[in-house]
Amino acid sequence: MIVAQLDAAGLDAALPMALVFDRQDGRICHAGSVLDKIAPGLAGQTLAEVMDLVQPALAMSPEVLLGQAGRRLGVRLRSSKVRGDTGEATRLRAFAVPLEGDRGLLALSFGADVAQAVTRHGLTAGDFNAIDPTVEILFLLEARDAVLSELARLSERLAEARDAAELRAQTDGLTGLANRRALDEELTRLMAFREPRFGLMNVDLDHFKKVNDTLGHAAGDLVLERVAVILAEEVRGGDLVARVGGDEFVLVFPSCTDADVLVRIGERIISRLEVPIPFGDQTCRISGSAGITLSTFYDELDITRLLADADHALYASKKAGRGQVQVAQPTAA
Amino acid sequence: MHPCADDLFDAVIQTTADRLGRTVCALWEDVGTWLCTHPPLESVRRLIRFSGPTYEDLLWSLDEMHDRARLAVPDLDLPTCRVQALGSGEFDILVIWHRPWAAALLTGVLRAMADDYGVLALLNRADRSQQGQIWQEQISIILVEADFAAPKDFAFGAPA
Repeated sequence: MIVAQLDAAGLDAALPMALVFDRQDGRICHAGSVLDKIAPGLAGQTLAEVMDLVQPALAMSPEVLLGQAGRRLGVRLRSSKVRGDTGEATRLRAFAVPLEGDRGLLALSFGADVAQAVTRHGLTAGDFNAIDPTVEILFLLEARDAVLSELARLSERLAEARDAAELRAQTDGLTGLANRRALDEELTRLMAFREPRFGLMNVDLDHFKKVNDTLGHAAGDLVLERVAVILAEEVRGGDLVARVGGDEFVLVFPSCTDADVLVRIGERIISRLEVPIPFGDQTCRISGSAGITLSTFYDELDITRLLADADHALYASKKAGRGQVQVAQPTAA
Repeated sequence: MHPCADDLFDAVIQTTADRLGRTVCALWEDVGTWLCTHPPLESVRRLIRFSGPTYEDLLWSLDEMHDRARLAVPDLDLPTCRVQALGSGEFDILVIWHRPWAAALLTGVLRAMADDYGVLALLNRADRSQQGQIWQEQISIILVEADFAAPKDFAFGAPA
């Protein structure tokens, strides 16, 4: 039963990517307007001359096409007009429908590479009919890209904020030195080695309270900033300097278990701490005491004990008259 | 995505409007225009251009805007619009949303897109009413000239 007959213009309006062929010789009698834009001049040639059947991979002929009527087929246009230099043959999805009057219709559509194909062939909104879902697919693909790039931007900002927060969480605000949390992390990291080797030095400022009390907190802050610079300059790149209290510092020396070396470093630090620091027309004078312990002093390592022993050595220095360095003697303790 | 609390949002907008010496509505119109014209937001302009080949297509597509936005981003809650053609190039658009400034924002968008499509259109915001949590606002549009200027470029396939 024939329900309706379409002329070429009507067919183009409804199915701009279809072609009509002769069932006997496979000659193309009409190529849809979009198809004509993709591959001009199809009409008049035979199916076998202009396209290959790639799915199923059979020789192209009207009988084969109509033998697969209604199934999804894959075809490849032998030549197509492309924008730019992507000379790849265009692959399309297709299905065939027998028509009255010894003819057949091959309806074609883009596959999953629809966005690239549309760009490649320079198609515009006017090439698709007003309700063609291809336009909706292109819209969705662009919407997806827009959302993805927005999400990428958002996660980049979150990562930056997290890095900044992490840095703040591990840094002492006044001096920029590591804080207690960063110290704990570093010690935990070192303890994870099978045989941890490191030196620990506690440094306490002497006469710092006097500076604070007589010259004020601004002077105290200036002194602390100066101390931070000295400590940072006197250690190696991989060492850690942490401010763990008002005027208390802990220095960690990974891989350094030579007490003499650490004592020399401690003495150098103290001698630099004793250089008077000008504050306006006043002068701040401080000193420091230090206590050292080494991971190699112990059969079993216990961070709390190491820190306590370094503290003991530090107080021994203070007791002995301040401005000096002592090394812990845990075996004797 | 990353929604912001309504009251915080309102406070930011009010403060910004005060600082710039503009009304909140004028500010929202500016935001709408900015969305479609700020070069880094080119993707927004392009998505709007997918509404159709002409400005009139765009106006009619506002009917579907809410659903199309959902299609792309399921939790995006855009206003619902009802489009009515009054003949001789006149349109009324009813904007229904749970906040009172959707019509101002949309007016800014439609003004910018008139430029984009190269048409001359007059836009005015008219009635506004509130029913419970829902605001209904009206935009009236007169499409004076469809080929007023050259439309801005729009081709399928995003520039890589």
